[in-house]
Amino acid sequence: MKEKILEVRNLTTRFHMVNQEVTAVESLSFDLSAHEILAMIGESGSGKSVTNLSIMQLIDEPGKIDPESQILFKDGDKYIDLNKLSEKEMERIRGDRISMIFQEPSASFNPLFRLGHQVGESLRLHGQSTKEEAYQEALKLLEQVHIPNSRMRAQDYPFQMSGGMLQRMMIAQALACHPDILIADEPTTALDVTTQAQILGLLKEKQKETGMSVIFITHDLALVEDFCDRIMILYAGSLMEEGAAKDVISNPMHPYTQDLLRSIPKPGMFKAQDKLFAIPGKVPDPGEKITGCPYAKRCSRCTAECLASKPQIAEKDGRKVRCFHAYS
Amino acid sequence: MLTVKELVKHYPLKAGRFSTSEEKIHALNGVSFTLGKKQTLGIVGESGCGKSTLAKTILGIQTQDSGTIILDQPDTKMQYIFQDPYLSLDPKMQVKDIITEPMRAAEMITKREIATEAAKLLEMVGLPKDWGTKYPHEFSGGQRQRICIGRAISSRPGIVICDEPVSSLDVSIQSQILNLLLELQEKLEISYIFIAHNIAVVLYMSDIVSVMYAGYIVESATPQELYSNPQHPYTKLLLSVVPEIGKNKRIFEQKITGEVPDLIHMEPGCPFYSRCPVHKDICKTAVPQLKSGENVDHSCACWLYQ
Amino acid sequence: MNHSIPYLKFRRKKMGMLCFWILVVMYLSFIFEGFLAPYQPNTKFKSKSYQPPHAIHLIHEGKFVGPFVYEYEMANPFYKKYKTDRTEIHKLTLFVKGDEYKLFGLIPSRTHLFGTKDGAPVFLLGADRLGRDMLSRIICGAKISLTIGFVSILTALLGGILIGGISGYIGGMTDWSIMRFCEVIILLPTFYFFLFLRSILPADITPGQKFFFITLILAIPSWAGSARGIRNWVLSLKNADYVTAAKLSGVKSLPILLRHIIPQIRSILILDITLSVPGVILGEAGLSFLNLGITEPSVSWGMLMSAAMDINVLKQYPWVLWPAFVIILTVFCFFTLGYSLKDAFDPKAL
Repeated sequence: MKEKILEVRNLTTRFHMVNQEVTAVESLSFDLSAHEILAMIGESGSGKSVTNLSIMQLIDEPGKIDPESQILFKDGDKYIDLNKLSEKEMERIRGDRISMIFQEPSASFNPLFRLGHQVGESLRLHGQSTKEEAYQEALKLLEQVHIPNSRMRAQDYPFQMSGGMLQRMMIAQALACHPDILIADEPTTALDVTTQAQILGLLKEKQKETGMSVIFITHDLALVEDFCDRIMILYAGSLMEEGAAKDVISNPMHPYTQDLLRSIPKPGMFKAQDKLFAIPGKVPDPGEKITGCPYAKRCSRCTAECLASKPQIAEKDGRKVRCFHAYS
Repeated sequence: MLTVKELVKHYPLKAGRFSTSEEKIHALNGVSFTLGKKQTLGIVGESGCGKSTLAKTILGIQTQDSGTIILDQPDTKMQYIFQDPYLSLDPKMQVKDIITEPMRAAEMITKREIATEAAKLLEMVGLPKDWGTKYPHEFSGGQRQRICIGRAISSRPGIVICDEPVSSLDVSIQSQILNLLLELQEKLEISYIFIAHNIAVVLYMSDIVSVMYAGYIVESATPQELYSNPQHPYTKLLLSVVPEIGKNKRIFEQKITGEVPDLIHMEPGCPFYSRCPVHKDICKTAVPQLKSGENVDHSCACWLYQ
Repeated sequence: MNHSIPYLKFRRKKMGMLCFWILVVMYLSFIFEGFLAPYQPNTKFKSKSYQPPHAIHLIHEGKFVGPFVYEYEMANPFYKKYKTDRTEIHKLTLFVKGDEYKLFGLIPSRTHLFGTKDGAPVFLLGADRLGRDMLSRIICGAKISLTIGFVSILTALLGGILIGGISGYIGGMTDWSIMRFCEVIILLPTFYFFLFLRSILPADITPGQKFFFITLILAIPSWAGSARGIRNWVLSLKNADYVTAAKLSGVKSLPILLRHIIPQIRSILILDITLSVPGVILGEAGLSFLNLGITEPSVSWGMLMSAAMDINVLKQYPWVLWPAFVIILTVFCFFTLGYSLKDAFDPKAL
């Protein structure tokens, strides 16, 4: 059994809007082991991004993390609950021990500063080095993320960079303090497929080198099969299925996972000979009141039981599934 | 139905009213194709390959620098389906007015007939027919895209250009929309130009697939042929990096060199030269023409085959 | 009930709601001005020049008698000093008969909201130099002061929408020239511009014409500001996907502008109106204060203020300053309402 670096217990995050209350994440529990890449998969409203912002304690008004929720982070040889930390203590963790990269790298850099200074900024903020040292360290980091002519590119401003290069810069920035956990929120969604492959390669390489754990958030199930160790499938704020990546893809237990896998067009499918499976209905609206299973209305295995009550998570052989009629 | 010949479009790079910069973005560098009746031409390529410029030029939103766009029947209507259904519906208009707008503009119906025509269209795109009095914000992304499709087909166009119609939708919704497009094509005999960056989706939807790179079509074939027998190194690259379930492709281990092409400072040779693993000397100096080999339906612009 | 989110947000803004209702009461009050005001604005009481405000008493000689006032008597006719005559009481009552006026400008009536039973004059906010009731004059002044704000902003906006809309939609050289022209107008110092425009007006015009011209004068600088704002919005909206969709379907330019673009900026227009009205009210007050705007026999708040121009008058009869408080209250209410609305419309604000 690998050592756990993060244990999330009953994480619930709600948004109190003017006209309704939206439960973005509902009583979500999961563990992240050391040296592990965990994929969090979900569509809009699945709560995958909110979960990770909650871990980082970056939920702003009108959102609120339920005080009962526990986010236990391994700090040395004891666990600290991030949900109970003061903002000041959290600042020490954020960017230093846990860093994050986002979908839009261009939105994460200040357009007015040279990239080299921004990449090394977190070193300076966490009091590890002076401005000059941070810049030298940034140059090294840019080299490590394979940015050609890194010495020159460090003098560039964000608008002078392509999306792929900026994403590399952001990874360099996130790795500056050698974090224990890297949260990657759809890091390749805005990129082209060729660039996506490059960035995934870079993430994998750095993860192996540093031994950090990665939470990889995406909507693309096809991306994670051989890239991640474990997969969590989220739907409407709840965990639907969890397990080793290979198992979940080759033997999906939840009808949602199964439907999703069938509905993604694969190369080699042609309209002349194949019919694409389409999941009926739509993703629940935020704030929609759901009593039963959130997927019930779209599910081919739905029974009266599914509409009446929400199934509990069943755990067996390292697999978790939330369904009354799970495939086996 | 539609013949496009040698389409060229270069955008001037001007910083302001008084800028004298001579630099240009080479968005389209001689694109030719034909589109048959009830046929789907798929165009696949990465950002900056010129696929959206191509769509806009065909629609006449932009004028081409040179080249021709010929419709077999000059009165053929063309319509467009946008990528983001959250931006392409007027938030202050009722759905029945949105969906019938092209019919009203073409004076196919009177104001009185809006409600009944809207109901018919809503039904065709799989929405409840009495939802015409709702506003766009009451709909989900997939439903909005259905409304956009309804609007596009309302004036019975011969050609509909779909520009990334599913890439901003939830994964579980995408196949619904793709199937709807296919169903409507059968029913209404529409020709599609289907533009997307996801080669799997384009292969599935199309009768002919053209691969675009840096404003050029680099390869064109039927989807089956393109999938099983790709010739251009770029097509091969695209197929090798598209994620595929159950294939264990390990796309993150692919060796990919070079950067996306610079459309402002175009080199004289093949646009893919800098990234090409198999380039020859001639590739650096001359642009290869799109030529077909033994299979007349399969053409490729690469010096390896010429 | 399914309320829109801006409405729900606005309802949570206590101060904004309060100001909204104060303004509603103000606007309603000038509709019922004849009824609410005890006297006509120009009813003069010769012996009551600069009479101080009446205090409302309830108890007379140790006995509760309900609301009443004591009469003031002129003690010093030269300095207009008054002393209270405590011998006689004048009971206040509701719905008394008084001056004749026309309700809504149509229905002749003599009933006023309140007055003294015996018909003795009552000035709750004091009287001016000619012995006219300040309260009645403030109520009647609201008509011009409050409408001039709205009418002139609406005129300005209409021009702004038209010119800004065309400028933004057509673009190119037209846009460039119109915007430079607007900038010139915006750069002119507003108040001197008012004065200049006022000075070229002929002197012998009827009060009605004067109202009309002053409205126009006040509209001119705000016209250019609105045009610029609207043009920027049109620019950002004219490349919206749904506008492109309409163009592709063959919808003509003007319907696109009217149907697809202008409706989107409705909330911006509401903000523009609420935040610009106070400026115009102050502009009118300024002109009238200098006797260049509304003049006798019409009544506006600014004109009433001109009575307070003399520091000696102000020192001895401070109640002539009441209109200033009303102006400040109105301007404050408009700004508070405007900023509350702005927050309510802003999807990012809470």
